[in-house]
This record gives sequence, structure tokens and C-alpha cells, in this order.
Amino acid sequence: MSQENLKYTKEHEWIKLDGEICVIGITSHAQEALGDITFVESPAVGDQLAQDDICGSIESVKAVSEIFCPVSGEVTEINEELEDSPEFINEDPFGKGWIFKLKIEKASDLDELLDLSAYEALIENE
Amino acid sequence: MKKTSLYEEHTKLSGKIVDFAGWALPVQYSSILNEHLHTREKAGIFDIGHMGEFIIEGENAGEILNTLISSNISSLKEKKCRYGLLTNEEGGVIDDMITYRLEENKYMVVCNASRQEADFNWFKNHLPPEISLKDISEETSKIDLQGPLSFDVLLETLSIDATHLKYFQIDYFNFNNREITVSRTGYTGELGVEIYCPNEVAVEIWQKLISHENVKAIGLGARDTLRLEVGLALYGHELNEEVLPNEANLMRFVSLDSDFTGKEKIVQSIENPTKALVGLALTSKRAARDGMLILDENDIEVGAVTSGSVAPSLGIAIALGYVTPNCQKIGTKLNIDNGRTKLEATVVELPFFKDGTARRKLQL
Repeated sequence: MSQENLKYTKEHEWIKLDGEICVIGITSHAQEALGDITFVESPAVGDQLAQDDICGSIESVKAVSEIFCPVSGEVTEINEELEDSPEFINEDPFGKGWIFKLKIEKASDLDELLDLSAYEALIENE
Repeated sequence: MKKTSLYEEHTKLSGKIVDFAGWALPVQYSSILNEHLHTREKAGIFDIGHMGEFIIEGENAGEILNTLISSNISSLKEKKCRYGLLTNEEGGVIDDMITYRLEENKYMVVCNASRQEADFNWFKNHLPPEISLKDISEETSKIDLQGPLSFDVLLETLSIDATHLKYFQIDYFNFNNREITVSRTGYTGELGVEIYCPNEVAVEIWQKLISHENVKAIGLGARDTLRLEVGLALYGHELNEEVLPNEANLMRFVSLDSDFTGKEKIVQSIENPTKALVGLALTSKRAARDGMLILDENDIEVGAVTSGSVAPSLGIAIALGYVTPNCQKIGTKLNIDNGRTKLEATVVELPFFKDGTARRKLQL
């Protein structure tokens, strides 16, 4: 997946807009910082989430990181494979390591997110 | 941060460097899970150069150490070592340590880096003037080689045959005209040794070991999960100055025959304990972490977690923690509050991982 067309949060989630459905995951930078991921707590299908809500968490051997919802909307699907294979996030964070899908409520939420160059500048300065 | 003599080796291997008790050490090289499993299956090497080593020497040094360390030191045979606790007047644990009897009246104490200064001062203030105390940590490197293939690796890379060593026994070997000490001990539950050597030869020993096809460098992250799986305490987590050895389930390292500092308080506490260290098995890979509260089935707080992680060799999360004595029975169902949800846990027997090779017989 080209990372050019994605949006990013300061908390290291990525969002891909496909019609009115957003796919959400965490960035390669985030998975690298966490190390081996051992457990993913996803939101539930049907959850109504507001932008910046804490909607789940990702655990690695050494750390726990919360998942912030990048845009408001309703959860339509979660990546059930992560239950048995949380390492997909390490192996392919922008592909089979996606975490959940959400039907976006208002497209303007996306305006507050970072594009690739802004995100790269952010992690450069960390 | 202080650097061990192997610091450059860690950066060459892309080790992720963290501050551990003031030392720059690798938490992992590539993957904690892989490093952990590699150690259980083959052999791993660990830079443990941050730990402290003291030489304590003099007439009747063993009997004198018996008054400070909980285990019986004077009954050790030469070239043998024993785990024990340095305790304060209240019976609290100043540090946990391994004491080696090097010669009749010469001992080496190996302690935690985070406690080195406290330990040194304690010994300095409590050893009589005729007993000498020398800190040799600065000039000493320590490399642990752990895993079922350790003794093959020693032979094939350093030409050292140490298969005559029994568990908790040491011997001296020549390496590049330097004396190195090989101790059949470790912190992983696996067959292996801890190598003490002068700093000058540490890099060469490390490079020879890592050149072996079955050896990987292992970071502090996997060191922690390996020790947790075999239920070994870590100072600052399970142990501190407020914890008594009986509470930490360490009475097998306490000799009540000798009069060491704080013994009476420990005897009292055995009669009337207030908490007990237990092993907890969780139901998923979702881990409990240090400091999380432990609740009974009625949601009453009964204790707190001291260490927790996914257990790579077991496929579930495990934890150690202190609970009130009425909750320590094997099979007791408890909950751990992680702030978002409650994790179900059951008190289980220690060690969690029972298939370690540490005590494997090497010679008939």
C-alpha cells in the first residue's frame, strides 16, 4: 500500500479513506517503537466513536499503547486475525496489520490529520 | 550513562540501547520474543557487565558473612556458590546476591547494579576491620551464556570444556593468558554459565561466542521474560527493603541456624505474615504490569502485581505479585485491574515454565 495517500495522527495511527469507510492501523514507526506485539484490544463492531476517543490498546512485551480514534464514526469491521496473530502489525503494519474499519461521520475530521510529509517531519523530531 | 566494555558490540548488532540502573544496555537486538525462544532452544549471550562484584577476604570471612547474608556461606565448599539475601535490621531485603567461595577465606559477592553502592556501604559498615572488602566491578566484565547448547558452544568457540561443573559450581580457565571464571549459574532456567573475565578480553570472548551459528545476542527484555517464566525475583520488583525473605517465598535461601541481621523479624513474620508472593496465570496474552492492583472475586483489593508479561514459552500472560496470605493458595481465582478492564488470573505453582534445562546432568 502506498503510504503517500494515507493520513496520519500525532499518536501514530494511519487512516485510509475508501469511499465513506476508513481503514485504520498504526504506522511502521509505531510498531517498531513498541517491539513484538503480543495483544491487540480492538473496538467492537457497532461502537460509535468520537475523534480522539481511546478505542483500544496495543501491547508489546515491554509496553502498552492506546489506540486513539482518528475520526468520528461507527466501527464497521475489525481485523479478527489479530487475535491469533498480533504480529501482523509488526510484519505488515500498513497491510494485513490493519486494526479496524469505521464509517466516517464527517469528512472534515480528516482535515485535522497529517499528510505523509507532515508525519515524517513529526517522527524526525521525536 | 555508563558503558560496559561490550557497548560497541551492541551498537554493531543494532541493539536498542536503554538506561538500566544508569548503564547503557540493549533491551533487545531484533525481537524480544525471538531472543527468548532462541535461548530456550539453543544458546544466547547476555552482557551483564553492569552487575557488581566484591571480593571479601580474611580470617573467618565465611562465618562473618553468615552474620550479614541469609544463607549459610561458611558451609560452602571452595569453588561453589549460593544465592542469598543481604538483610537490614527489619529483615528487609537490601539486595539479593550470589556468594562464591573462591578460596578458604576468600569470597566473591555478585550483586545488582542498582544496589551496588548500598551493598558496598552496608558491607563496609558491618565487616570488621580485619576483613578486606574490594570492589572489582570496574575491571570485571560478565557475559552470561545460557541455553541447552551452552556447553557445546563453550567448547567449540573458547575451547573450554566445563562439563565437569555441577549446578552452582565454578572453575577457572585460561583465555589468552588471562584467568576467566566460569560459573554454572544463570537467570533463565536453562543450562548455562556466567563468565567473569577481565575487561581486556571481554570483546574477544563475546565475538568468539557470537560467531557460533547457534548463538544469538540477547537483550534485557528477553532476560526479564526468561527469569519471570521460571519465577525468579528481580530486585526493585519482587524485592525491596520493605519485603522480607519469607514473604518473597525465599525461605530456602535463609539459614535460621545462623544469626544474621534481621533474623528475629523474619522469624516473627513467619508466625504472622502479612503478604505472600504468588505466581499468577492469566487467561490470555494480555499482560498485567508492575503496580496493577490485584482484586479478589468480590472486587476487594488484596495486593499488587510486581512483574508481568506475556510468557513466550507458554503462550499466555503471567505475573508475580504480593497478595494477602488468605489468597495465596494454588487455584485461588483473582482479578487484576489494568485500569480499563479486569484480567482474570489464577494462583499457580512456580515456576511457570517447568521444562528448563538448568539442572541437566552433563557427565555421568
